[in-house]
Amino acid sequence: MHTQEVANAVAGLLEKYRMQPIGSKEFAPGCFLTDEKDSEKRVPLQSWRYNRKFVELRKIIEGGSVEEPRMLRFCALGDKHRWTLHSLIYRECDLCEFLGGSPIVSVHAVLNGTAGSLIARLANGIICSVEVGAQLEKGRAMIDRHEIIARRGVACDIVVDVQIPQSSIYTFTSSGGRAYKDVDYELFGLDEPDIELARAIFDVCKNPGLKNASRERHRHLTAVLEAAHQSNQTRKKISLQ
Amino acid sequence: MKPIKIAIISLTHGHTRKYFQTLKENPLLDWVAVCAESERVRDIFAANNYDVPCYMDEEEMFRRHPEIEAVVLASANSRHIHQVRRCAERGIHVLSMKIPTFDMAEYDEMIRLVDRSGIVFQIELEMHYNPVISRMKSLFEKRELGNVLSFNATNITLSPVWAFPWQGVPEDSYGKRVPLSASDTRFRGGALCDHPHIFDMIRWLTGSDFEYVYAEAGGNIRAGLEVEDILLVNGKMKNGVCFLFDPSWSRLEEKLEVPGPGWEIFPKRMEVNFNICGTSGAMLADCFGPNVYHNGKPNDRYTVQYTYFDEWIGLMDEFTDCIRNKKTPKINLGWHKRTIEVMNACYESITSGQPVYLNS
Repeated sequence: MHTQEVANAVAGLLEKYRMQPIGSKEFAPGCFLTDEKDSEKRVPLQSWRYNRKFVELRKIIEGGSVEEPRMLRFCALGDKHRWTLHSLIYRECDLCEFLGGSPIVSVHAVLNGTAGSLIARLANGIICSVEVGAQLEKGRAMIDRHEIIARRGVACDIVVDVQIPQSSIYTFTSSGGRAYKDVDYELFGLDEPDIELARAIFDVCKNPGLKNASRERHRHLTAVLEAAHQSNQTRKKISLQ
Repeated sequence: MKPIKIAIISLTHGHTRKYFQTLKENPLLDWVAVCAESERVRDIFAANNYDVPCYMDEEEMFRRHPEIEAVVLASANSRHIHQVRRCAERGIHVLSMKIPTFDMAEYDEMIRLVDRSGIVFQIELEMHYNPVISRMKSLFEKRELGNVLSFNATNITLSPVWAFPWQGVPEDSYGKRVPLSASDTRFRGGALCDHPHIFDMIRWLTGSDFEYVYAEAGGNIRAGLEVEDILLVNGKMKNGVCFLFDPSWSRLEEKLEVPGPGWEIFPKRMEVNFNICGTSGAMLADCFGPNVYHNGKPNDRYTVQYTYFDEWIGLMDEFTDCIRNKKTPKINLGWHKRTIEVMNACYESITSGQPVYLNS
């Protein structure tokens, strides 16, 4: 969730860009701050928003390359040692709002242990499907898909006609197959979630006002999660308004 | 460290716009001026709304900004020698585009000028600052594949000639008008001149040097080009590694005068991929993937939208470090000379129809 490597990476960026050092351990991805006290002590960040694939998908929508989105189809299957149903729903619901450009106003969820799905509606009318599961083996990179269906165009973070995210390098040697995905030269060596977190902390350092916005989103997403669990228990759509 | 006062000259190279953001954001750089080679280029630069004075004459820019310490030579290959002479005279450090010159006498003159003046001369081979290449280098150092047997690579793109016309003019791109072969109506100066990276990378990653190359140009896929757009290269390194390169402009494009959305006809406008086999296994690498994809505006075509194009950050970090700390860039004229020689050898092979051996 937060490693010394992330702290070192942030310190390196702050030094390089001549900014004041900070205690980066006061930050954490919001999806892992389930305890209310935890999220008061630490700043809950929606760090996945800094993943370049989501930055570019958002540009595709905001820049009008796809026009008038109508539906989002998201899926996230995570390493069971890192992810929970809770944290996956939190992340994916935030991405619905980040990419859809509007808050979730209703949820209908069907959950079963460490797997489940939900259908959500955003205030701007976009409907969203979110599939989640926390079953993957330890160390397995997340398998996710984020597809945006619009009146003009479809955008996606997975290339057409494949089912799983691709990597940059594949090796096939006597010790088996391995895949590598390196996405940031300045932060080379960190994995994607750690890069996201380091970039998120660095951005908050540049723009301290983001702390409050992040806390506000955390409160809202916590409410979305509660609504999802309530929907699953009551078998009803839950409105958040 | 005191920020380096830097300018961009010419603005006619396809990579020019890659520098804008880095020059603005890097706290070690103070971007003080640009010089445009034409009114059209000046107007394109002005549309970016950077608050940087733009001159139409290099001498005027240097006169008005005696504080300039370094320049990015973002110009046609044929202009480089003249600009390097001026910079060396003034003691101004140079970041050159990827081909300093194909003329080896000019190349040697550049080496002498740099040695004599003591300026830093770095060549923009940005793949060295790509995170996938960093991983490949680390895997090579760990000998994950054992002894490398074959090294096959693509550096294929759309053609930039409609936006950057000099790249289709043999004199501007190659430096002179040399027919591809006695029976060919085309000239040196096309796709090969645009794609040195894989010739450089095989040297960098294997630590070996070229023994011989064979190259063959196909018929062009674009009408009206004076230069080659399709070619293949293979050969052997001195350590026995065999290689196959595709440095073509094999991805068609719309004839845009200013690159932008909808430039590509084939979904992915540029790729640098590697297929490498060794005694212990194989490696497949895509230096610009994975990405995100859409089929929206402007042409409703399936399109790759790149998620990583930040090589210029690391490149400029090295340049500033070399200037302030008096270091030699890893991609300097001495290192890069062999890459230029082998590219020339490819043209000789196309002309002769036979492999060409490189001198030791």
